[in-house]
Amino acid sequence: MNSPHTVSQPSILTAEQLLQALPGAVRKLDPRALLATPVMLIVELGAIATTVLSIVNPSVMGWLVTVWLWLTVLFGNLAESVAEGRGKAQAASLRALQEETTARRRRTDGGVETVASTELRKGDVCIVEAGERIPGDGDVLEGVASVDESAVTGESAPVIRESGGDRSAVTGGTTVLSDRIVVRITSDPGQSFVDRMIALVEGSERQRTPNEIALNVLLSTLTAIFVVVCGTLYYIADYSHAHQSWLVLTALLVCLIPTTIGALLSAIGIAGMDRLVRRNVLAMSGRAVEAAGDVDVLLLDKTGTITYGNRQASELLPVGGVELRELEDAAVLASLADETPEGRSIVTLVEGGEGREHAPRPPAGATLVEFSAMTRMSGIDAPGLRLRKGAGSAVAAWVAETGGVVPADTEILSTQISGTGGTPLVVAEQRGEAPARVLGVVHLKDVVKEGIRERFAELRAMGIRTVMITGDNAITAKAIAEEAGVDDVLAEATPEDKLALIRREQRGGRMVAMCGDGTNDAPALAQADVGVAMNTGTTAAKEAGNMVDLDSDPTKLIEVVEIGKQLLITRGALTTFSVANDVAKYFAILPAMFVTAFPQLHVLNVMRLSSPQSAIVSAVVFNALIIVALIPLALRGVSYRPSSAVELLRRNILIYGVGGLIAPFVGIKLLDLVVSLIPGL
Amino acid sequence: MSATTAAVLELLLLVAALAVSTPLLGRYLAHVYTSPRHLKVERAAYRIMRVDPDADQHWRSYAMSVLGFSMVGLLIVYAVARLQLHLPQSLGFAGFGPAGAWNTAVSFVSNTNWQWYSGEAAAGYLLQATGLTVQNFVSAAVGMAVAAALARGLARSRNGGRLGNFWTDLVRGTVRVLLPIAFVTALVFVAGGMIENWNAFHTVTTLGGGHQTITGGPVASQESIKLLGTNGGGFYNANSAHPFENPNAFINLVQVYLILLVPFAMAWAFGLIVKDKRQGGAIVATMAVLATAAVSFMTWAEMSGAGTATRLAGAAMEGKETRFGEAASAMFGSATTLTSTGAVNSMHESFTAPGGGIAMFNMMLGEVAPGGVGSGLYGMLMLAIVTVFLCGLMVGRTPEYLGKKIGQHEIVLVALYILTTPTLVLLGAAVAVTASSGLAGLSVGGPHGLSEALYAVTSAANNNGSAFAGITSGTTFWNTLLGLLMLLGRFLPIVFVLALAGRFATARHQPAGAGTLPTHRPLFVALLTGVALVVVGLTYVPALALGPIAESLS
Amino acid sequence: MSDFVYLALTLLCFAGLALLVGIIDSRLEPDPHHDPTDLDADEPQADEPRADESQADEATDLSGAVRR
Repeated sequence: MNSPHTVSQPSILTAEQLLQALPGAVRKLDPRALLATPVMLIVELGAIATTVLSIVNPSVMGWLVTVWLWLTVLFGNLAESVAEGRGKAQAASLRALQEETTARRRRTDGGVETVASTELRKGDVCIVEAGERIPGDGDVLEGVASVDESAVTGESAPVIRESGGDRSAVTGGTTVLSDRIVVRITSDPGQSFVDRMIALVEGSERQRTPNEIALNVLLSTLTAIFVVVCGTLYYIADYSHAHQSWLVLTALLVCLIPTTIGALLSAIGIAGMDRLVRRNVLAMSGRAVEAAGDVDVLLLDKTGTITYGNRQASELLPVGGVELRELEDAAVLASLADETPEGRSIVTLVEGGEGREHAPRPPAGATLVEFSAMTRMSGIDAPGLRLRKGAGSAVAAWVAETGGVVPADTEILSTQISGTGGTPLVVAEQRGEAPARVLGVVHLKDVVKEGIRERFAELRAMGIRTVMITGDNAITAKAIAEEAGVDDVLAEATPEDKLALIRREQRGGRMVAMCGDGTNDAPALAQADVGVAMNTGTTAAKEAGNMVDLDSDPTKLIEVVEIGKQLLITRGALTTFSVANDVAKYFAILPAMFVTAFPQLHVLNVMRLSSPQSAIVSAVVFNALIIVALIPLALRGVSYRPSSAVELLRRNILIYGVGGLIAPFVGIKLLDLVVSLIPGL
Repeated sequence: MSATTAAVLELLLLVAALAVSTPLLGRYLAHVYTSPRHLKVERAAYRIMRVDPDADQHWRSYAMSVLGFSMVGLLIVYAVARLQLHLPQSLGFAGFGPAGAWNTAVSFVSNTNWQWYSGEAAAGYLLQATGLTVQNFVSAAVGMAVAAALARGLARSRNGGRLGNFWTDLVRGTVRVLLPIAFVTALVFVAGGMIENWNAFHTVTTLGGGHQTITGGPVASQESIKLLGTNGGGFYNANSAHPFENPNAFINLVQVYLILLVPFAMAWAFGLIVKDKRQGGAIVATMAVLATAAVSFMTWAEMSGAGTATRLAGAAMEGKETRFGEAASAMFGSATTLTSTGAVNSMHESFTAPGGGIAMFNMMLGEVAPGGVGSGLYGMLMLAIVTVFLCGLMVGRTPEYLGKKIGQHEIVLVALYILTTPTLVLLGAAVAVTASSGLAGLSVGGPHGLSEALYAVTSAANNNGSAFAGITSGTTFWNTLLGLLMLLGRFLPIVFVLALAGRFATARHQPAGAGTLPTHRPLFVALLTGVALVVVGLTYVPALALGPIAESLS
Repeated sequence: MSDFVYLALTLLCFAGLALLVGIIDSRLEPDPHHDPTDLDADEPQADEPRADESQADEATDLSGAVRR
């Protein structure tokens, strides 16, 4: 990752970051900016009220409460600003890509004119040559070129872009390294991929997600209840000859309403998107991230996700009494001319074997017979020795040509290998002019990625079912599915089958996530609740999905799900913490309020706070400081280990529920020790 | 046998009886609210009401039916109460004043049965039997219908918000459930010594030369439904403390049992209707945990005795019937406030301060343990949804309850439901202790006076109906204030519940997996209990601190 | 006179409640395409087999673009 925008994981919160975020936080004090979060709006109104009360009727306590109420609002804004600030740094480097370039646009009459890249519209056709920057998002119409996309993807190796097929999409701001391509622009200015990335990382286009809105409703309800509680308390207390000033009631109100989660809610959302961006995944909406947490079914392509995507030799099986060693030597020699991954894997397998010092050397005067799609064989021709290795039928034909016979156990072994989903290759040799004989069979199989089985077990524990999608036949698919430990398999899958499967799952009420890159994946990507398109994919696929993985790593889907869950858990945990805090605050404030009228309520002062005034101020200060203390947690997200719902719940309730009950008792007591030293309180 | 042993034995007997009846009656209730077949007598009722019993109502028309039916019922009771002097069987009592008549009408229609008047000194037999007893049946049936509609809404999937038929639910609840059980228990009550006649009152001269009025009336018949339907409106002012209404300790226990019978069974029936017995079990368990805690704590408070009344009288027996003693009074007092009954066998004003505080807290819980018939179930389900929402987030999924996603719209409705009662209670309390006409009704000042006012508004807004006896609530101010609280406290939540039920019926059902929060495990029961206590505690603690808590600690 | 006040109060309360039912109902069933809680509202009803549907239908499905 050497891209300008992929910042290496920074420390969660530095003093510098806080300082940079401060102006933004102050700007957000505008009540209109707080309309979206009623909790913080109430705090600000409370702060205004106490300011007025303190001016009219000045007191040390009044000013202390006022200052700390303002700080509470400010800290809330700070959290959001810091979260946004982290995105801004990334946005700045992306903006550099948008420096105006010139584009050579093809006119309708066939001529070429030079225009500014900002003037390009959808449908315009441009010519880009080596060394030039591609002026906008588009599809390659003509030509092949290697393109440096590191500015966008962070991947330094150039990629090939060519017309037609699944590698035709180019991104504005990337550079053509060689050759010349003709590009049809597919986005209007301001709506390009980079534009969207900037908007996303800056959080400027942030729309609140359904779940966030629902939580906000609940928080607003709690706030409303506490407004009623505190408002009516004025009159009820009056009746009881325990008159309370509005200042104290405002302090009580701010302590009770869920300010902690209210202040951090939007920061959590922004940080969730940010975590995705750091993993080089762009979510087109926050909603997609949330949906990822809800996913019940993961559709995973076999190739590249579950297996390494190429067949590798796993075993050599001699036939007709041939020594294993002899077969190994022959197989390696016959593969020297086979540059395909399969061929190289045979060499790797044999060289990695026991008792091997070095690979067998080809005899002097040997000529290599290269693998070709026509012959489907590779081999070596040396004086008095010819070796061949290749597809069963091709080798059989070669053996028959020399007058040899293919032994029966070759057939049996081949069938067995095919039966388990592998591919058999046959190795044969011809010494002198004698008929060729078969030495043995190479078992090629799709190798399942290391650790993927454990990944799937984790997913199962999380309640997520995995379905492997493959074009292979049912037998092959089943064998690999068993080895990888997926729950289900869709073999010989066509794009229509995929779409149908997604619909079927969704009809059963399940949420489906998948990834894809081809144009024919587009309908399925759009239908899936979470569709991750590979950046190497076509424009159609990227448009259809709701996320794009810049690394084009299909395994990323699993991480996306975890990030989605982590986002929701962070919200829930902080809400629980916030509400649990109220218990301690009651124990601090209620005795303080009423102890004058009812001395017996002193027993409720379990924290033994020094005076009613310092108790109230301590609670307010704690309420403000806890926001700052939790900003890092909000930005990082609570730690998440894949496990079942019950385990997660038990753990989080223990930490954030029980912890939320206890922490403020300790915190308020400690603050009281300091606050009680303030003179005049 | 010591008083403590007796108390424990009575409690065990009660628990055993409920443990037997809850699954049995629950299964029957589930059948009643899902069966497609109609009884002959029901068909006749539908013909008279001109309704199609098989029409599957959208939640909107279901709600409109509830509101329409209740409004008509309210107007009828109002008319009978106003005009009773001109109607037969009035015992010569004058009509109620407008405020009093309205309060009474609202009170019975909302299943509250707040009684500002003395039954034996103001309400004639016609009003008692036709106006009030009829409402005792149908207002209870309305509550059960709403709960059944919510359960069906959760059980259905993508049907456009249809919940079943209100009229069918209403008639079945009355005909198949309340009437038969009430009939049988009325017989038990009569056998146990309760009176049932239409005699005029006799005035006799006692041995000491004084005069005493011996009352009569169809007491047993009203009594059985008073308890069964968690109504609580007694025939006499003394309610279940009156020997004619509650002759002995055995009948007393039967009365407590009757109060708790249907609410627990409704929760069990819920599990069967949503086709997951364990879910009903979890709700029943949560109710049982809260109820047991409340009964134990109150019994302890009463038997150890402390507080204003105790000090005045020298013992915690003041205001309690010697026939029952402290433990049975505490058990009755808990049961009546844990449900929406509000019947009393002792004067809650005379409870020890912590005991009275628990009675209040029971009601503040929203009467969910086990709550009123029907209303207890839907109240508990609302809390369950809040719990699911908080905990669901903590397991990293969009929260869902019984396979229904709890999204923005759902949480708005639940939030409005949760918001309604505390707002009514606290605003009501603030108005009551600020307005001079409110203050005039309180018997004393200080924390105990606040307890009286707080108790009254809590009782009204939660549709309980019990009172701290010291309060004089027969004034226009109190009648109107409490009437409004009762009306809004009953029907606003019902509207939100039905809307939510409609929403659930529209939604798709999500199958549960390992990633879903299970809502039938002990962990969930514990969380639900915790959420109920914390939400209620946070809302009412400041007011309680100035009333019962200050009183208890003094 | 007083009777009139209480009758009016009753009617007012119930009219208000009925209005509330109407308001909630209209807010609850918005155009499914704007309903954030129903992710797959644009998807066809559950039960019918979709074998007869053509590619064109799917294209319109996608153009709903609810998901983005």
